[in-house]
Amino acid sequence: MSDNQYFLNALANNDSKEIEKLYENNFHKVKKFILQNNGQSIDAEDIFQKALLQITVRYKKEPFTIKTNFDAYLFTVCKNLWRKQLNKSKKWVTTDKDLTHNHEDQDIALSILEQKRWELFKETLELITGNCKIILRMFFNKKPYSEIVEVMNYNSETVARQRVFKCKAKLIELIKKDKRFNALKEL
Amino acid sequence: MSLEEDILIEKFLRGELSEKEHAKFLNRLENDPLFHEKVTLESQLSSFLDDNDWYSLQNENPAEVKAYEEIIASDEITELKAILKDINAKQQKANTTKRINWPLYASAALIALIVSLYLIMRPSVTSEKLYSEYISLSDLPSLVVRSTTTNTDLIEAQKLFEAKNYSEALYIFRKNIDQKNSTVLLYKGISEMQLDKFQEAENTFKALSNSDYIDAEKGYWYRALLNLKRDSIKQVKTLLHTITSNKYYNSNKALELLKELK
Repeated sequence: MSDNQYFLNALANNDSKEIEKLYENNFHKVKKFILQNNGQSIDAEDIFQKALLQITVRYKKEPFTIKTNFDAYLFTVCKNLWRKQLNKSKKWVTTDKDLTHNHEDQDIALSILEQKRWELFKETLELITGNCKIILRMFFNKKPYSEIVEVMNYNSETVARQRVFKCKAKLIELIKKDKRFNALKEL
Repeated sequence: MSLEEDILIEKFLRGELSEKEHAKFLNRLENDPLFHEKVTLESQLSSFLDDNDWYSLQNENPAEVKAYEEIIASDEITELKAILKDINAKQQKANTTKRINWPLYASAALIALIVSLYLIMRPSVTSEKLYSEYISLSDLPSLVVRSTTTNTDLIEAQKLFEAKNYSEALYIFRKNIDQKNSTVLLYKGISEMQLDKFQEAENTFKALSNSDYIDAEKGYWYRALLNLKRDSIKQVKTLLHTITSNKYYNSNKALELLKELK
């Protein structure tokens, strides 16, 4: 059994001894990341527990394999949950969600779907080769077209726009071909 | 999808449509399911693939969410939640104990190492950690809200500050320092502190605490954090005692930090 499988099983079987090892090996790194990104210790504790719950619940419903190693995957899940949290507080005023009924459970359930979607998008972006990947990374990180022109040595912003359009169309085509996409479409 | 439509969706997502265009866009969104689908996908791509953003799903009742919720409500997951809570409490307790007892059992070699680190003015791990825990930049008042006139310079500076580009932000704060705005002074000091310009930050926070501004007492708190960052624990304690005995800004946090430093 691989290490990844071993830890997934430990979580699924509520193996407290092994879960404690996960804490010892990973919590400090997650806490450091959260402290460096406008969070407090208590946020790190909350995110770390939510991440382990998220992974376990997902694994219980549909056993999945981790393509990197378990520690790296856990750290990514924590990072994404913290991104979600930071953006939630930013958008708090405009959110009108019902906060009373099982909000925490629903939040974990939705975070699993979000994590799956993020994985689909991220993995598909990695399939794109050459300049297209560089252009799309800059575009999605909201770099201005003037910067894309400069970095890619294009003649004008019109050229940059056309390149972004074509590369994005390629990305969307690949995403739509992925069987995971159909399950996401309904949401 | 045409390039024109792509540009239109991009402008919508970046909030660049006029009021009229926006209303027209929303109308189409409501009446054209195919267009709705395109915009949703573009919006998700735009948020998920932006390292500083995230897309929070809103639809609350699809079958998959329900299936996950049922697992979450199961006895096994309830038990796991309790296990995680226990382990977390145990780990946090162990860390605190380690931090308190550590100096008592440290070897002479380790003490010598700390002394040399201190001599080269490098903050200890504990000070650094405490500084990160207490600095809490997201709680700062907004420059834009507090400004009586719309100062585009300050809007830009706040954006730079939030993007952690402290050196460029500091340049603008310095240009705007003669304004009657204590928040500018506060942001200027914090930018200097983040850039390790310790003496300049000390002067800025002193100017704030010696001023007649309503925020003057914040100067003491940020001077305490500044000294924490440069590991001058004696000064940190003196300032924290001043804050707690006078009930200045953040006196509760000052008390908490004093306990952590014991």
